[in-house]
Amino acid sequence: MQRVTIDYKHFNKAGFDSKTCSVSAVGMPNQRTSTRATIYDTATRAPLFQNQHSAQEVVTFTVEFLPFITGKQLLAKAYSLVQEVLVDKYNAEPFTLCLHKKDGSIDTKTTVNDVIVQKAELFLNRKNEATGEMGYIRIRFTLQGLQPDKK
Amino acid sequence: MADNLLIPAIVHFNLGSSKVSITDYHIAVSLENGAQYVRSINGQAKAVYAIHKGGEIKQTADVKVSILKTPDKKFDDDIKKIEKNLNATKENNPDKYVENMLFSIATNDDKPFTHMQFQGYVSDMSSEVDPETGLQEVTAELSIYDPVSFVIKQ
Repeated sequence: MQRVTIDYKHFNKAGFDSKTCSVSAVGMPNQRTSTRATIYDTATRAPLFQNQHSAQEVVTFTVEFLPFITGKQLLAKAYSLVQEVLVDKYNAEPFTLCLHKKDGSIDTKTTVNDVIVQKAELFLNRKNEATGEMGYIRIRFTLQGLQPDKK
Repeated sequence: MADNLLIPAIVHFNLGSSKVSITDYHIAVSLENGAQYVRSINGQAKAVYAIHKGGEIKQTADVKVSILKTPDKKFDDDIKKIEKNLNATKENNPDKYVENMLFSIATNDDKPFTHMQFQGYVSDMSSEVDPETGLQEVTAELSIYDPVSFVIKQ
C-alpha cells in the first residue's frame, strides 16, 4: 500500500498521530468540478436567458485508524471527537491528505476545507474472522468538508 | 500486520451486578452527531454552505457475546445468567430486564484501558455446534435500551 499521511487539527489534538495509531484506509474524497450553462430561447424578441449551475461542493469521506499499544486512550477520544462538534465554539478545520512515493516525497496532496467529524465507528473483535488471528481495534471516522483543492 | 497493534485480548463483561465469562465477542458501535453541511444560495447567486448541527449523539451498536458450552460445565452458569435475562424480557416492565452492561477491555496484561457501559438487555440467543469439536457455542445479542446511557470512558 502507498504510504499515506494525514493532517487534521482535531485528530492531532485528540492524539491520533503516527505514535499512537496507523492509518489503514482513507477514502479519497470524490471530486467533481462542473459548470453547466443553459441558455433558454424564450419568445422571439425577448433576450436569451442564461442559467449557470455549479456542482455540489460538499464532500464526504472516511478515514480508518488502527490504534497501537500506545493508543489505549483513542476509543474514548473517538467518542469525544464526535461529541465536541455540537459545542458552540467548534471550528471546522482543513484536512490534508498526502500520498507518498516510495522515496517519501509527496505524490499527491489533497486538501479539503472546513472539515467536520460526522460519525465514528468502533469495531472490536476477539478474532479476525478472515485470518483466524487475534482481532485488533479499528476506528473509522466519517468526515464532511468542502470541495478539495488539488495541488 | 504490525506487531504493536492494540489488541483487545481480555474483555470482562458484567451483566447487571454479575460477572459473565465470555469466550468471544463482537462489538461494533456507531456514534453520529447529526452535523452536516447544508447548501443555500446567497444574494449573488453563489452557493454558500453552513454547518447544520444535530441535537444529540445517536448511538447504534451491534453487540454479540458468545460462550462456549464446555463438557466440564464450567460456563453453564454464565449461559444461565444470559438465558435468565432473555426470559425476563417477556415482562412488560423494562425495570425487570434492563440491566447495566459493562465491558472492560484490556490487553494481555489484564489492565483495562477502556470501559464501555450501557443500559441494555439480551434480545436474541442462538446456538451453533462446531462440527470439528462438537461443542456448542451460545451467542447472545445485546440491545441498547437507553441510548443516552451509552458511555465510553478510560
